[in-house]
Amino acid sequence: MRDIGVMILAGGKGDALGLLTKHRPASAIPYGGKYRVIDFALSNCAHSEISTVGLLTQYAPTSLNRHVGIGRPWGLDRRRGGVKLLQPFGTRGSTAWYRGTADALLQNVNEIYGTRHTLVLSGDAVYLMDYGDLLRAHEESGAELTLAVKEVAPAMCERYGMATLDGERVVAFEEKPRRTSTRWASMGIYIFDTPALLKRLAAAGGPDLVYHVLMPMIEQGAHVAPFIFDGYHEDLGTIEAYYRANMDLLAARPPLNMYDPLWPVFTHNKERAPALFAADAKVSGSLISNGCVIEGEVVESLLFEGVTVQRGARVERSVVFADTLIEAEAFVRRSILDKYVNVGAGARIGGEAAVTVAGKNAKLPAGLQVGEGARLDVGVGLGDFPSLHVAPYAEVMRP
Amino acid sequence: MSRYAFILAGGEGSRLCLLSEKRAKPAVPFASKYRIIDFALSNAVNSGIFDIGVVTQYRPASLNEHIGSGRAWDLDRSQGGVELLQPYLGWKETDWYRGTADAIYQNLHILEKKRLEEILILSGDHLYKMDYNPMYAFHRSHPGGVTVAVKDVPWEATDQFGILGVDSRDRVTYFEEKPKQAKSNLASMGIYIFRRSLLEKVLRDDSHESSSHHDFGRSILPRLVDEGEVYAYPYRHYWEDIGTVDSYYRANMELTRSDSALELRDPDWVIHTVSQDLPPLSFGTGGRASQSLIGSGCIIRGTVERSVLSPGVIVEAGAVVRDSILMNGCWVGAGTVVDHSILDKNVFVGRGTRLGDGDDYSPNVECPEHLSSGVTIVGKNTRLPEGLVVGRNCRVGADLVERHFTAPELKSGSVLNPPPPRAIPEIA
Repeated sequence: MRDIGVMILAGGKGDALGLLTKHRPASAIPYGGKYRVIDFALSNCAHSEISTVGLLTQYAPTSLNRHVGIGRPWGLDRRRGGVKLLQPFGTRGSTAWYRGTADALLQNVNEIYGTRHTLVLSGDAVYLMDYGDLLRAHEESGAELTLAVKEVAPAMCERYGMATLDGERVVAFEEKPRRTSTRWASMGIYIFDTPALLKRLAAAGGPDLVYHVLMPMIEQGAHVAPFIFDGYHEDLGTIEAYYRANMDLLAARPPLNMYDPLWPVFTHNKERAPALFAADAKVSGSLISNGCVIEGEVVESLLFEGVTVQRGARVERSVVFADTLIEAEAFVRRSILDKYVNVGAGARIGGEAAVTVAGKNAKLPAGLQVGEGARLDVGVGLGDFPSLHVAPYAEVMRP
Repeated sequence: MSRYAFILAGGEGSRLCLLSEKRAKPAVPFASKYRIIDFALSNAVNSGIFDIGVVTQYRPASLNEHIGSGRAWDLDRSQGGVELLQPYLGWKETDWYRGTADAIYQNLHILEKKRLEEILILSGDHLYKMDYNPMYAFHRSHPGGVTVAVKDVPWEATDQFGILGVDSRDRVTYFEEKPKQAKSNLASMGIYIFRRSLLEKVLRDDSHESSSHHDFGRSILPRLVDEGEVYAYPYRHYWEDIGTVDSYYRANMELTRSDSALELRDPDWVIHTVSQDLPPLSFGTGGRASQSLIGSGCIIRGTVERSVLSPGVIVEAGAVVRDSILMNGCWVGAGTVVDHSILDKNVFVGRGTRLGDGDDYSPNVECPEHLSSGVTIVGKNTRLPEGLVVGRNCRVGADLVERHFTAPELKSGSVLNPPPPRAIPEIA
């Protein structure tokens, strides 16, 4: 698709994701056994034949920059267009962080000048979507802005911007209401006529796209059309939502199909050997990536690249990021272990209910017992544990 | 100092039976996600050699596609990089390569604008992980014009190698290609470093000799040994020349062991390849795998034991895959048993089929020398009908479909050849 510029908002800090976003933005969180969340928006762009993408970054961008690079896995390494990483920059006389989503767009309007349409996406969600359908609907309706919406349960409204629809128009919008009469939640996917967007950004009374652009437009009666999406779409805004969205992939018929040969999800990976299963390995209902070595037991879990599960160890209902080592006889359940975590021999991590999280590089001593819902800080070392018992919901932080 | 390597990748590998029927031996898939040539290419770039010519001749299509611009090995460069050197017409007396030496001779012109004093010559069909830097150091510290890497091989295998003897200063004193009665068990690994001027001279001289085989092992080395130019660099680690179906099968199976001699997981010596971007491998609730090497994108709903599965293989519920090698995109239907079999790419195994069945180990009727150890082999893209029973040492050709199987059983040792290609209608 020509004449369309895409701006992906990928600078979000993802506060509710706790340790997982201590050193990376929400859009760079690993997901689905080998991907990062941003791969979904970028792959959707690739399949929608979009070739100009700006990635707005701000918070801890290193891992995102390295992952996206020149955009080759998504076919975005182009002479014309391609992917551009748009970080806040200083100019003579001013250095300006992005104060909000609208401000980030405003500071980068050069990137969208001359396009007919601007697609603004959140980089923090996983879904498969052809943006061409959205563009066609937008052009047919003649709207100034088309907003993608999905149906959510009433109890979920606190997590979303909720849109009230009247036929083909969005007539009211509430940001994260306590309760509401509508079931249509904004997916954070907007398609604007570029001239209208530029005008609205210039006139915005503040830095936020929702509060200072979208809501005033609706209040002023501008033509804002809904685009109803009925596929799988998950925001990974909280630890529990993130965990559930990973577990969704283990269903016999997962709601998000990563195995569709016509819609592969592209990513950037290191070269690794195939997964190796030792003679005593037992694996069921799981996703396992290249470079893993499985000597123990893995049940209903996602293992990213290069994870080792030693003899007699058992991993159950867990999400284990790349290059983590689970030593012999350890037992990990309902946990998220970030990259390079080392679970000592015989340790028992996690419980039956709330998810337990160990941050990147955490080294957990042999025989450690960690209760459900506990948080083990990024980089905790053997010396940071006062005893071999971490109570449920406790936090072990690095000094 | 700048360095250049030629990789000889034109070999037919006729003893690999169906596996090299449609592709050159270096392009044969190996260890789930690799092709054999990945080892030589990765060794070169891991040793810091980024200027490489791959000499091809026999069935080069899959090799060309695999190497492409060389990106997987960081060989897509503006200076150096990888070049595919196929025989061509139109330059002086060029023609098909008459042998390995002639293949290099016909490509010597590409060295013209390079500042090089040494040329490394490798074979694309060997499995090993070798840093060539110590061999260069050896070459520079010895007076000879050629250094050949050597390794002890079992005495009973000496008739498959170039066998040589060395004196106390590592000088090669004699060289015999594939001797019936070997005087030593020290074998050439087919890895040479030549002083450039010597290589150019000896290849030019050889090209004019009508009686020569134009082959490094048979023509060039014996002559240079007589001239006292050849020194032997000893190598002691894993090195395998995949020559036969049996050695191919064994080398794959070796990699399913945790303590395998060829370590694929060394972060300091990564074997690079062209990886498809596929999702993680998925285990259904009934899926199991033990002592196996499994690529990404596979879906395992049945049982996999002591096997090597390339990316994108699907094993349905109730199916058992044992002691087998399945290449990319194979589909194994529910309730089937695949035992001691090699399935080339995209083989479709209908429900309830049994492959590698029974205790009859009669050797293959057409190629008993390649297929006698019990391995059944199925060619690329073949679709095996539901409920078919195939014995051991069978050879089932490529591109067969259900209707070509006229009997419900193929007895051990039997052969089913592909249908003759359809005649291309003449254009009036």
